[in-house]
Amino acid sequence: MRNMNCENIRREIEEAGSAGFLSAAARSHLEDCAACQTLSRQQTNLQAILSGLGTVEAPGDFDFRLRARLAAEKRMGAFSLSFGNLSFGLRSTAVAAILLLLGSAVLFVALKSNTNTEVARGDKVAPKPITPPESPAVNGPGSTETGRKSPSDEPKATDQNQLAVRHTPRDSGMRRAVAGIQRGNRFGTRDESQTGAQIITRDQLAGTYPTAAFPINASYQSLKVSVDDSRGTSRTISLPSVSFGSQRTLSQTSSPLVASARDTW
Amino acid sequence: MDTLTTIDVNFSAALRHEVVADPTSDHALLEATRTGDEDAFAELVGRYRNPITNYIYRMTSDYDGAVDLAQETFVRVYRAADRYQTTYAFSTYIYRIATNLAISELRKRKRRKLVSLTGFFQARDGGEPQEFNPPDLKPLPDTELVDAERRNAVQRAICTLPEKYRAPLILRDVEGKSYEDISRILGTSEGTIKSRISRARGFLREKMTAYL
Repeated sequence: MRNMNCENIRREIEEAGSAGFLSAAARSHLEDCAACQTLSRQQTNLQAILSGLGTVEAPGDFDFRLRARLAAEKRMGAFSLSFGNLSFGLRSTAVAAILLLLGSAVLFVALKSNTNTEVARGDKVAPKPITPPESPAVNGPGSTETGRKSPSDEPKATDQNQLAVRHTPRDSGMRRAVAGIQRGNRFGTRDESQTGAQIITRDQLAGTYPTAAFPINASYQSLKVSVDDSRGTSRTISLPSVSFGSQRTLSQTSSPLVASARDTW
Repeated sequence: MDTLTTIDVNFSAALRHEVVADPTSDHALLEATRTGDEDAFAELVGRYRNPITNYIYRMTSDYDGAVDLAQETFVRVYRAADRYQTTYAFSTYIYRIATNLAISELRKRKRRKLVSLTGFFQARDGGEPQEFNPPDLKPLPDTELVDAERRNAVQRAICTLPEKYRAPLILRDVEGKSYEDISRILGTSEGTIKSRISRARGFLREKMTAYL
């Protein structure tokens, strides 16, 4: 019974902190119980020590350092400060909006890239067979022939057909090249020819062009091909000139053949 | 194993205190700070810099660190001035911020395992081993020296307490806060606070027997 009473009194002493706040029953118990009296005395002394610890003061430059710190934060991170002041919901919304914008941009670029690829693949213009162009070099100055092997085999070239023959392969080839580059195939090759080149044998040439003549004083200037992708990017390819050995030989000999064949080959 | 919990600074709207119309009250000063009045904030700093520094120092036993954390406390008050709600007393609000910072610092120290090689004192309830320097029992000639040694001893003994006992003991016996204020600052019920303070006193009494 006494132990039970001491336990309650000790709990009251520990909660009270000092003997001055004890109840009358606890105080009367302390007069009879030496153990509880010791506990109460220790508790009072401990309370006195704790309350006598005093206050540790802030340093004299506390305000100055605090102002400097706040000013530095204002200077350095105006955006981060305002962003940090936002509530969690607003911050989440802002982050979600930024992510949405980035995703939309990526999606737009991807869709645009796919559209270009589809245009390059599904070219509606049917590839036309390449007809050998009429070269003025083939036709001599006095020639009345058109230079075709068989005029009946050739389609009648309207202006539209000529335009298609002239531009379509180049445009589709260019689109394929652009699509290849967009797909990351920077070094991919492309085949410009739709049909094989026409082969003209010597006999056919003699039969077709009986009076064909080539001017021997034709320009030796190299052929230049300019390619433009209609986006402002152009490239000029210089093809080396081809000279025939007999041409030079004939021009240097003084045979009657040369005299008769002067200026023509 | 004691677990530390960071206290949520957002107060519930259960107990609303009316904002005192006194322009020198803490609420009025913070309201003025919100509108850009730097002098009002300086007045707030002047009122609380010493108590907050002292409280954090008693929690961490590191003066320089306590000053830094006290400054961080005021920086957070300044940043959150727009979001401050006059639900509780400003002192409760700022002590709660300081408590969170001090607990975070103690956690960092635990992670870094900053313990002295002079000795360990195992906590009674199975907590982390705590450093404790036993008191020098030789008689000292000067009473002032005895008091100084006693204060140092009690400060060291406080640092051996688990954090969940340390904060309420300091707030009650050193800072002189009421149980109601302590329960608001720490976000715990008054019964729990009383129990923890009682246990903390018991720990200290055992460790300080030579001085009591």
